[in-house]
Amino acid sequence: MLEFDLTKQFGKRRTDFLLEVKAQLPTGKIIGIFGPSGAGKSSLLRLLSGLEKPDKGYLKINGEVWTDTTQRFFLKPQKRAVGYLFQAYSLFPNMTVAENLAFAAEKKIDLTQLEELLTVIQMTDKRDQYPGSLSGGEQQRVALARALVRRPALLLLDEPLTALDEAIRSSLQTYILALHERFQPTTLLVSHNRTELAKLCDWILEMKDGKVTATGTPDSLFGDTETIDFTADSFRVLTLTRNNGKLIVELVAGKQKVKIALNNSSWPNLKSGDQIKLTDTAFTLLNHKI
Amino acid sequence: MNYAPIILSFQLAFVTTLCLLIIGIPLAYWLSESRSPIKPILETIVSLPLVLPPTVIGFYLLLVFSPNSGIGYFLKNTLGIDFIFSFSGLVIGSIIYSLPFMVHPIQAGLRNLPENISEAAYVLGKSRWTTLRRVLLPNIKPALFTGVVLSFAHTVGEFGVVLMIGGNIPGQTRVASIAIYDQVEALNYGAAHQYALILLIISFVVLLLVYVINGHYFKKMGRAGI
Repeated sequence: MLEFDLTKQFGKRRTDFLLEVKAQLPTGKIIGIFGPSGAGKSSLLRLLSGLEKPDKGYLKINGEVWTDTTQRFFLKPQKRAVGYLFQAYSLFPNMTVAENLAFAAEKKIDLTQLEELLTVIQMTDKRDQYPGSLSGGEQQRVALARALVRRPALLLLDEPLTALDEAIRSSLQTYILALHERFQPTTLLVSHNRTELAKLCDWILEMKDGKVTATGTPDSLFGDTETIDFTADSFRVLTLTRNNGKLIVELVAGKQKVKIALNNSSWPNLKSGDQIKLTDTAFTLLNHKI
Repeated sequence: MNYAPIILSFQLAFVTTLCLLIIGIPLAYWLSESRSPIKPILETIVSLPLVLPPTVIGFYLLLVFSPNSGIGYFLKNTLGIDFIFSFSGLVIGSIIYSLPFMVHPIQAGLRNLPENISEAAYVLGKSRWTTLRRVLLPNIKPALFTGVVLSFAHTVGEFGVVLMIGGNIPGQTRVASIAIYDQVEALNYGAAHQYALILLIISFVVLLLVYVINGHYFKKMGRAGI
């Protein structure tokens, strides 16, 4: 169990940010941290890693105390079994891929472990290259492997995929899953991409204005889009926009909003607030992969 | 021609640069990381020699180390060290005078490193000392090199502080810049010219080396992603 109740005031002015976070999370899982910018997601990771000291509170992982302000106890980041992947590439430019991984080891790196990590991230052929000659996606792959060298109990991923384009994101998500399956660290992944979180995470922690607002499975928090039955349910019209002869209708379906495009002429009197029902003669879904 | 002043100048520059490396690296590291309220005060003190006339620094050092002052009396009578009109006095003066030339490039180099790089090392269990030695310093080699060369060259070219605190004692405090002044005073323009030309050529070559090597270095480091 990863358990914390932490408070920290960032900055001293009245307008500055107060983080008050409390949660109990299952270990060994991938936990998504979701919320708008400025919600305190990265600050939470910094508190968990020990890069920031809390003003008040405690942090325990599998019964081991890392911080407890009532005991005046604070474990330095160096002493915590933490892996941290930053949004910006943080590989050491003076070291090759293999040297970056070897440097992360406590003493001398176990060569089998080095080979295993290089194989999982598919970088065996680039082991002697410097970070400057690697692409962004490759650098994050190495940084991810480096974060796992010390077999951390807690792996913190701070928007590691934000700076990458869609294709590389998707392949890195696969690497994250593969590495997680192999080493099973409790993983906290910050992202504001719902699809990414739904794909990777077992559990979601939602934050807003420095507080935890909800926790739950991705389904319970984001709704289940696959169960909308277009032919059986009726929907309320939220907004209407006309675009190139098409009528774009925004509908409320359960907890989700859905936009559908219809022929302009077929719905002459439709207005916001109307309740509508779709039948399969008027709306046919075709499967075309593009 | 008497080469002693030239040799003395380089001895002074060598010792000063070595001391400055030892003092400058931790100082620049602290300044680049610190959020302490006393940081601006320390930064100001480090930069003062850039704007103060060297004679002001020399004058105050003279007062501090004079046997009539508490510190000077203690140094001379208890420890047996006399900084006035001595080589060690020149070293102290030169360290203070060239401090910004060592600290500023290193501080700028550390500040320009990618964010998170030291934090990445900390969460990998590395101490601040290991992080500095293995991660930070190797990535600011051009800045270190610039600091070393500028401090060295600046010390060779120093005049006012040396004259105030060291005077003009042959073999002890008569460095090349003082020797030139001395020869001109004596209307020995030929000898003055010899010293001056040697200093000019050496300074030119040293600075040229900095630009050539650093230019090459930046290109190499550019490939390495810095």
